[in-house]
Amino acid sequence: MPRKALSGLTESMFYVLMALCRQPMCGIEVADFVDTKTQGEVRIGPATLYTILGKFEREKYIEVIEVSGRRRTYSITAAGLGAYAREIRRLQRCLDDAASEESQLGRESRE
Amino acid sequence: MSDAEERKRAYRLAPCPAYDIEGTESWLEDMAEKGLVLSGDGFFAGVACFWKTEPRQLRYRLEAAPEGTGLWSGNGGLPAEEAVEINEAYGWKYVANRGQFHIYCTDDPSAREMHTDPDVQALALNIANKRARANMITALIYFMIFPLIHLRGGVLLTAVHMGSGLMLGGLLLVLIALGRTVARVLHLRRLRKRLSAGEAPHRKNWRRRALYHRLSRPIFIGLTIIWLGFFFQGWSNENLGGNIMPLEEFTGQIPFATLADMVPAGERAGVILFNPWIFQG
Repeated sequence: MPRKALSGLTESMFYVLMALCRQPMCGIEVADFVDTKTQGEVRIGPATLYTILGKFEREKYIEVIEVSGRRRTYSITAAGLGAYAREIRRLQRCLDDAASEESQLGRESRE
Repeated sequence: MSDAEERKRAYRLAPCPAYDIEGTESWLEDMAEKGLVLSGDGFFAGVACFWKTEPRQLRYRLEAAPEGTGLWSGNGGLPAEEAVEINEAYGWKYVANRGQFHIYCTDDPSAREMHTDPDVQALALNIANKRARANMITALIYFMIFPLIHLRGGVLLTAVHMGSGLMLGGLLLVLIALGRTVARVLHLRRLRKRLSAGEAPHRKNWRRRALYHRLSRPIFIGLTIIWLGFFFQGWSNENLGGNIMPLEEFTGQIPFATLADMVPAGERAGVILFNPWIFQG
């Protein structure tokens, strides 16, 4: 039976890809990046982080480019960049829809 | 190990099965509050090994192992070094394994939860669930289908040889084992659904079914050992000829027809007995 591919990205998955878009990083650096980027709004737990890294590696969204002791450094692949871009477009559509709805509500309240 | 170290150990029978994540976490935390901290020896056959210490507030978390946890598995059943490093960076220390789970512990109340995304935790649990399903299918093949094929339909004959009571007992034990495996698969599936719905369960009243679990497991193991004892006794009797008795030593009514039943008493002298030497000339 073929392995089920990821149907969508969760918030933490999205931020992991965002981190690796910037530069290759190890797991702890990814978590630090997300903490800093979101000012602590999004906190990725360690088990969540390495589950995501393992899943992304199997999906070939990321690849290991260096192993130093217990530390593995990951780099994003073309497939990972594609998934990240698709998620940005999806989120952008959500924001556009919300913005258009808000402006519609504003017009109705003025009338 | 010195006597002083030996005295510090304590052993307790787990009150819930290995796949009961919330139950195991809650029980280990309650034990720590009583001064029993899980040792690196972890669990064996449902018995947990603890160190006796001062009562402590600890948090335990069970993490579904991405690979098998047996000694023959990759990395000797231990978690990946990267996973250990990331967890340690956030205050979580690997302690031991139980079933298909790695057990982590922290004494830092401010340490962030190991899983912060229930959807991702459901993904991790999915792996354990698939392994449980695979184990169930393997158990089904080995304990039910393979013996049936091996017996080539001669179930009745085997029952006569082994004793139908022993066969029925064996079948009952296999059904109980399969039932437990099915329960594990269903439990993990329910938990995965709860996680997908956004729940992050960690506390549970483990006392509710503790007596049932603590009694049922030793009873099942005991019955299996007894059954195996009878089975091997029957098997060795069969192979060593323990069930064979010379006909002249048998004093009861013979349960099959003999020559004496078929040939009238006065005509026995005329019967030509089989003599292998006749065919050699």
